[in-house]
Amino acid sequence: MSGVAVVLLTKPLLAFGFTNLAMLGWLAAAAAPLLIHLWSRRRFRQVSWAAVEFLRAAVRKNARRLRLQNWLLIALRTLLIVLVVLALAEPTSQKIGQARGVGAPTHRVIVIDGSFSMAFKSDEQSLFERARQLARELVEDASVGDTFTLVVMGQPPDLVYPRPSPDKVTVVREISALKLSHQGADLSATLQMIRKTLDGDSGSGSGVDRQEVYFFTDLGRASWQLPELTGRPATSSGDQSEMSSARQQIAELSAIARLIVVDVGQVDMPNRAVVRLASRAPFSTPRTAASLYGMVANYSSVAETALPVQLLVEDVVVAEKTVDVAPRAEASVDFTHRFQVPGNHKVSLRIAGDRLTIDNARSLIFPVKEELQVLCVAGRPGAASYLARALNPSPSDSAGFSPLHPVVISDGELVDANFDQFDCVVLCNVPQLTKTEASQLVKYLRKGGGVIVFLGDQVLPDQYNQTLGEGSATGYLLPARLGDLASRPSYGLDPRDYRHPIVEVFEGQERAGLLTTPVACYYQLEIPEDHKHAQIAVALENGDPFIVTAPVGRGRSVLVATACDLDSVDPATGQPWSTMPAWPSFLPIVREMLLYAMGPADALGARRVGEPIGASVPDGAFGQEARIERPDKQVDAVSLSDSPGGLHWMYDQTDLSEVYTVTVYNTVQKFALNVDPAESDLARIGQEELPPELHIQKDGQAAAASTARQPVQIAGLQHALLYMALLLALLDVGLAWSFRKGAA
Amino acid sequence: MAFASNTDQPFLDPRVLARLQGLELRARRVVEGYVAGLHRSPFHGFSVEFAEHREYTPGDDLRYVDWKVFGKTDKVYLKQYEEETNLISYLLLDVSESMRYQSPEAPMSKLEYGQCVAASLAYLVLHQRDSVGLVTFDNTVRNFIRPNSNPSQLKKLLQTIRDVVPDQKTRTGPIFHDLAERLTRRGIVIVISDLFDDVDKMLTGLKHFRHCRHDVIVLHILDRAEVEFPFRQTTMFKGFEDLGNVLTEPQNLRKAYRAEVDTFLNHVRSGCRSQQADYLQVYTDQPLDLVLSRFLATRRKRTA
Repeated sequence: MSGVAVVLLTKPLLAFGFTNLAMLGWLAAAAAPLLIHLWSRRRFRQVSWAAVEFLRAAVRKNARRLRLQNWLLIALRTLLIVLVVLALAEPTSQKIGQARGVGAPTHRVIVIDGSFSMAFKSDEQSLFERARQLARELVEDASVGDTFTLVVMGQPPDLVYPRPSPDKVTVVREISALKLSHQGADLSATLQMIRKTLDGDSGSGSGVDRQEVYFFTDLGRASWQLPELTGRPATSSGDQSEMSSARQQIAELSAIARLIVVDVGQVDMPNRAVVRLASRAPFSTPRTAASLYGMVANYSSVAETALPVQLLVEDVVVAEKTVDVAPRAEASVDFTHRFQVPGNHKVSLRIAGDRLTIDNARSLIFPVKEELQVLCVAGRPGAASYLARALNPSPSDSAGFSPLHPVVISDGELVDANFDQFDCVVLCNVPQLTKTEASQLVKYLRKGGGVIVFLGDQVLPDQYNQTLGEGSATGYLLPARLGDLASRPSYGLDPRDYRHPIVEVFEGQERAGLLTTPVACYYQLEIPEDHKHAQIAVALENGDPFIVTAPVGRGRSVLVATACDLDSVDPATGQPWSTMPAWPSFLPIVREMLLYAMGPADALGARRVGEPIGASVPDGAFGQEARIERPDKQVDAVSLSDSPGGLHWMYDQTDLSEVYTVTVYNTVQKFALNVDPAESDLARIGQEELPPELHIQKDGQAAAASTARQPVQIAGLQHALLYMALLLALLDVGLAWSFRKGAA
Repeated sequence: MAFASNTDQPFLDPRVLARLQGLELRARRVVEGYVAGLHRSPFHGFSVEFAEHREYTPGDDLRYVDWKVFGKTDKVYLKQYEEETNLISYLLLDVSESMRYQSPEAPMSKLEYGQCVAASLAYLVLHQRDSVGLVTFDNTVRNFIRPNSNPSQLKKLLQTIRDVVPDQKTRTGPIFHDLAERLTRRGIVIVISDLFDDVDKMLTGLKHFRHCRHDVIVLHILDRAEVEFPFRQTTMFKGFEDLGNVLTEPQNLRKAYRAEVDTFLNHVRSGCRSQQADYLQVYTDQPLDLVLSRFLATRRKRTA
């Protein structure tokens, strides 16, 4: 079948063509009746005839009628042949076929890539905009009877209509109303959703014969490179267990629908992005300068020289630097800034605009505090006194340099304490914790708080292990199990090469006294096998762990094997467990532990777009709403929900990056969410890496060559032609018979 | 020729003649008068027939008084006899080219048929001791043989009949006129032709014959194909007598042609009838014996 479509444009609407062009050669056969007629007149019998006069008279009287009849029959037969040939040549039409809805009704699933890489601007129009335009064209050019489903490929994918809609106008409007999120795209979940839609539709008997899925995407590697898809391991660690093989899914889908990928991306899409912004310290005070650093990545093949990088505080540029970034590499930038005003400040790092602006800035909420609140829980009166002194040596001195503000309570007051007010909680020789207290503490820890646990002679190790240790109902808090009490003098500490952040600062500072801290009595700490993240910051001379840390949720837990008060006495020797509280190194080590426990500030900036945000609120806020101002200035509200842990709110519509400001119960909280840097790499996946079931169409030829525009065989026209030919044949027989009868 | 048993006399079919046995061609009218010139022939007695009575007027010959009637009615009547006139018949045979036509289904051409007819009639007339003459014509008179009742006349006639050369067009009208004058003695004029000519002129000619008090019989010889036009394929009809050719598809014309022929036939038939000429339409595929015997019988009934 010669597939050349000859387009005869008589009017814009009637774009005809023929699929079987060779058949048109048979039109020459239409000359047959005429030729036969002429030939027959040459071949005649010869008869001698006497009654010529009568014949002549008869001829003369009927000549005209005879001629007419003759030509009528010839014309009829010629037309008949022409019609049959035309019908056999399989006429096609582009728009006529659609206008009459002759093409089989199709259910078209339109999938638009919603990853933020689609915001890349190419020729005045972002890829997302281009995708939407193509999708709109696809819908508008579809024939009557087609139904549409709209899916946005994101994290998670979004199904705009639960059921396929035949209403073109509404679908086009929905397409136009789509907004790009700042997230990536979950291909596997999208495929599952598509599968559900197709299965649901074919079962509902909506009358469609064909199903097609159109992916409008830039084929970004971040979205499309799945390990099963390409056979190569993914660059980012994807959770393999949650996806059935994407390749398998595509194969299954291609059995029930035609899969078309419309590639709206370009081969070379250069991009720069700020991929990291963090602070070296978890907070800053108005008296000290904060040290901030960031990373700028160059995802292009061209080196960036003297790229301006700006530091903004509350969207005001406070510092600017330039940086050189090699192609396909990253460069770090450092800033220092002194915050004058305490509070939570939005700090952003920004680079100049390029084609994709979403990833050109990164923010975090940087707490600047006048002072930090540290809750010290004393298991015995005076157990926390040395600690409090170490935290703030001269509280009465208004010009005191320490921002740390210890609040000492007894363990009996623990039940009333609201941990959220404090930046860190320190347990000093607390015998045990109730389940409630433990769960509260764990919650606090998980949300990002810090806990330091000093042991002592009051501590009930089994209770600790049960309530706070591994396998407890509330979840573990302690980085290690409490083992046996050891009574072995140790005259030195092993900093373990100063690898841990807590002892980092002591490197080169032997005179600080850390190394000579005497410890006489301590609990042996056992780190369970599966505590992979537990770290031993400091060990004793004999190798037993002295300070162990572990991350718990967003927060950090620090466990010290001995006491922080001199009242913990070893009954055998009558000596305190450790003179560490009086040792000169106590102050710095406590401070470092505190800083470590409070966590790095970029934990706040490491929130990703798409992660839910939430916080607990005091019980007094019952019945109120949390008002959330989004980065696009829209305002959402969520109601507070009650749980055993207290009132809290949660918001999960975090599809945009930047800052979300939440107001509840007269307190304002800010959350900074940033895009996943992996999506900033606009490297594309090659066609050869994709499964063969996907038909790739390049944008540009996409619209013209899509099935909506493909000339559709007008079966109806073919049949009409054949019926007409049949009618003519009957007419021919009838006329010939009647002529003969009239003449005979 | 369908029958050629006797090549010497190819137009006399024994069967035909056998059929004609006992039939005779009679003149129509009663001819008054004496049996003048009674032949002392053995057949004489047979042919005298009583026709009717006439009242006696003084001066009539008394030999013919019917005394029986006088005896019955006391009135004197004369017997009138059908005169056994010496019947004179003229055979007018059309030997024009159109007579040559013979369709494939016909046993013989019109001319041959006419020849047979002429021969048979000549034989019949001579057999009944009457005179018969022959005129062959096309556009002029070709042969003119004076009527004679001598049996040797037959041979002469047959020869002439055989030796015709049909290659000319017919012109019956003027010829009839001409002949009407030339045929001095009243008799029966038998026209044997297809009459493919100007009908009106021909009828006028016939009228002339009638004017000269001839008894006219028209034997219209036609080929069935000429009337029914059974042709199917595209045919080039090549006309005789330089009439030209016509190429046509007969199927489309049949009806029209037949209409033309019917018009012609009706014209001829009605024209003959109005002239009180006997008209008989004969197809060449009809058996001659049947045709003639029937015709003669019909005519006898009429004239009796």
